[in-house]
Amino acid sequence: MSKKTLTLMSKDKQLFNIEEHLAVQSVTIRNMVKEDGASSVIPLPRVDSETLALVIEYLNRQQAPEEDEDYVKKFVDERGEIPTLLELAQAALDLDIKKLMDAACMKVADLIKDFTLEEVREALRIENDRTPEEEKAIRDEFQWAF
Amino acid sequence: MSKLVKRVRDWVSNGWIPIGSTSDQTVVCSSSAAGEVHRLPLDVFMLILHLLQPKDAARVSAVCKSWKLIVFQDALWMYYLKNNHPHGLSDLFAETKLRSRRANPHRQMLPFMHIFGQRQQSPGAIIIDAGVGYCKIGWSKYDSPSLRLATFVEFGDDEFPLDDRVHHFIETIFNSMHVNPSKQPVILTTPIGLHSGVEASEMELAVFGSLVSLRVPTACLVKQPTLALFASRRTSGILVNIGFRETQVVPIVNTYTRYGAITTKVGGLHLTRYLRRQLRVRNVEVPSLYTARTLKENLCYVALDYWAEFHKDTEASYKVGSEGLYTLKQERFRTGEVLFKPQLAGRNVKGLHQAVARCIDHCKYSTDRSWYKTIILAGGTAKLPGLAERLEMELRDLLPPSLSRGIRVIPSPYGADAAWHGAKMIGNLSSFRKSWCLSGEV
Repeated sequence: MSKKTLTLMSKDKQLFNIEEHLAVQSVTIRNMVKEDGASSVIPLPRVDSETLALVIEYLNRQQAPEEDEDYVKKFVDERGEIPTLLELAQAALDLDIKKLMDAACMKVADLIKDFTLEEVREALRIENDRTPEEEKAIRDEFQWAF
Repeated sequence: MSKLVKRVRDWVSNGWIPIGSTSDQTVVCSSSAAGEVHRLPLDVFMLILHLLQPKDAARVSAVCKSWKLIVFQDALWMYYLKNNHPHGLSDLFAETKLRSRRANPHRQMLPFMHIFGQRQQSPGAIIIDAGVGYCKIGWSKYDSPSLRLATFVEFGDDEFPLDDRVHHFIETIFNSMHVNPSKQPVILTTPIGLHSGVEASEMELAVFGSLVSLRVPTACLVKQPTLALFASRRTSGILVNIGFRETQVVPIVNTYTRYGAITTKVGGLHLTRYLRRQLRVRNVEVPSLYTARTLKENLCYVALDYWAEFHKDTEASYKVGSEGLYTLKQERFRTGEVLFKPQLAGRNVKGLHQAVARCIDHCKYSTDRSWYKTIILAGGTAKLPGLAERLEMELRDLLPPSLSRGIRVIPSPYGADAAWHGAKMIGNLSSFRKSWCLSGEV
């Protein structure tokens, strides 16, 4: 197999090169290559350059198949910040890289599970738009969950 | 997971966009940084919600107003209900079709998140399914009945008054279950097959009297065939219950029994006795009916073509506990044949296929023409392999094409426990006490 190189372009117009046989782990790219050879640059309008760098790092991994599961887990564990993981999950969803997407979503779910509401808001920089009374009403309504 | 991704995409492409309708669907919340808005990709958020435990999803609904709107979606909670539990599909069926006992198209549907919460808090019910042969008892939150009693053994002698025997029977049940009867409602299946020769209404009165004296908070009586039908996630169809002593063929339309049921006096007991008798002819002595029943359950089947089956090698063996190995030959399919040829076991009644065909014939004037073409099997004997296929074939032979077209016989997944599993669906309903139980105290 010839080592052809593809170029991916992030939201902020940065270019990344990657060998085609590695890039086609992404189903989206595989379909593009199948359709038109994808000789030109592939634009990824929803992915910023930092996230794309991560995705490229993931696609470039050299892992035996049996260790792959552990590798993906470790890969997302090392990036334990919720906003980063969300960006990563979004990119993996767009590019259709199933393992990476599953692992990233799973990690966020795991983190959220152990967070208090305040910690969730802080991690995502979300403002609490409810008064304490409104919040108490919700807690009372869903007593079984708190 | 990939199915999930597809579904999320479908929602998005179907315009299922709660907030913020830019081309990249995002969840918009006000950000803690002044004047900014926080954007969260909706499709990723939905995927993460699906991975959370229902409890955590309910909790994060309090994060902010937009999150609550998204977490509240019925589709999400229907997903949790379906996947939270091995019987999830049945739970979802029950909550969508059986929330009220009387069908009422105008009733208000609760959001599924509330339904889920109510189920979480419900104490469930103790289910007593007293069949003629065996009584299946258990808590509706468990996966299967935890106790099986031979009804005729526990029920006692005829010489005592009915009330005393019933009370003793029910007390035995609660004692063996180690539960306090005043803690949760009870579901009883009817007819309460405690004994022949007693009027059904008289029996029900005696049972209620006993429940009152045990301070059971409230109770609910439902017909066995209806419950067995629910267990197969249907509300209409012809239910065929092959019981201990008799077989009932019951047409049910939208949970109501209609057009008269047909009963034939052939049941699992007759098959077991016939098997034992056949083996005795071959000089194989089976010490008890229990052993014969075990052999029946593990080796017998129904042949699609009875006469052709004689030319096949059908020998097979089964080891029964300490009693040793039994080898069966033709008995394996001749036993099940009793259902279609009761004369083999000396019963001078119509075969199962004839009873079902007659029942379908009674239903043919129904305005809706499809429901009676689905035949659902229930009862221990209904688990015999090959029964559904054979019955379907016999019905096609017996009925005119207009009636036999589209006929389906559905095998029984729960066998003898079908009614118990139907009752389990009812007992765990979020609306169980309000719409299924007797109002007030028993």
